[in-house]
Amino acid sequence: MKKDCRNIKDMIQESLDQGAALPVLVEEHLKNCPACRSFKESLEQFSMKLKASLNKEIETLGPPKFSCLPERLSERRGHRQFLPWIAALICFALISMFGYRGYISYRTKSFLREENRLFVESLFTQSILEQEDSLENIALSTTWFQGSDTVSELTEDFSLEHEINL
Amino acid sequence: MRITETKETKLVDDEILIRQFVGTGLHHSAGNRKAFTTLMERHIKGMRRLLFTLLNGNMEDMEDAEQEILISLFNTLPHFRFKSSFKTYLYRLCRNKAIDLIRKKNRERKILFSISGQPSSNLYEPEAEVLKKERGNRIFKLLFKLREEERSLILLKDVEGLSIKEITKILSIPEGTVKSRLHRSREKLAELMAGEDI
Repeated sequence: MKKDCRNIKDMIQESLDQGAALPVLVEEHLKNCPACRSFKESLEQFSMKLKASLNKEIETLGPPKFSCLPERLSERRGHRQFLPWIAALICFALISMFGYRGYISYRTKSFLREENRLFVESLFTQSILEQEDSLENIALSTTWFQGSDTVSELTEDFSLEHEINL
Repeated sequence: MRITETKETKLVDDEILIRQFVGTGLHHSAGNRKAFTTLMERHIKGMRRLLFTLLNGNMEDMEDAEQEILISLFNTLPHFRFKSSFKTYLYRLCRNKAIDLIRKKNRERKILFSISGQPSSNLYEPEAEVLKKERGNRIFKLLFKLREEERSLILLKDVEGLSIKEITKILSIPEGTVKSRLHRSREKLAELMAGEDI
């Protein structure tokens, strides 16, 4: 009997799902089964009463506010319409910031490069002069051993190599 | 037969109204706005019934959700592709907005409780809203004892009279699952009703 009721309840629900009339078998069962009858009636009553109660409740809401819809829409758009401009502005600021930093860094580097070049050049010149001295000394010392002709030869080579007037 | 005809006529009319609203692309023109108003007036009752059911009868939240839905429709209708009926699309939107609102409220409530140091509870507790507002309708008390999905299923099928296929589209669950869950929800409701005098 319980299994029958289970099947009957499923069949009642199936007919509710399809919006179709109950099969004769179910109708026959309902005549003799108060539990299934109560199940069917409670579902039917519930949906009817629920609809009536819901309609009663929503009547208190009044008509929908369509008139203020375009205003609310433009209000919302009002907040959003500046978003692309703000985004563009932020992008521009970032690009400018990094671009300026890059430019400054390039300028500093080229300035330092020039400074270094001059510094290295001065060092080089100084070292050449020092070297010249040492070479002259070397030349003198070698002359002491090898003869006076060597001095003039070495000095001439050095001055020719480094284009220095000694 | 007559019911089918009415449904089809309504469906065609919905499509015409949507096309009129979308029409030239200027949704703010008076004619287009009228088409939108006519379309919404046709479905507003069903929409409100669903919102009431999902939001535990909280009228303030209902009005908020309704405005959100109308604004959303105003924006999204031009992209409507007529792959489903407008009613299905609207109910799906309603359900999503209601769920978003419930989540938002619950999040706010959790934050409030964490600040005050009290244990948090769910904002949309069954019966809470009905009892608080002294709108102690027994039917609603029973309805709000069900879970959100169970309520949606019963409302959409037994009150709004939608087909299983339409419910499948609204809830994004397979047809078989809709059927089995709907049957279980009805049985649960019948059990709850057994102890009540309605």
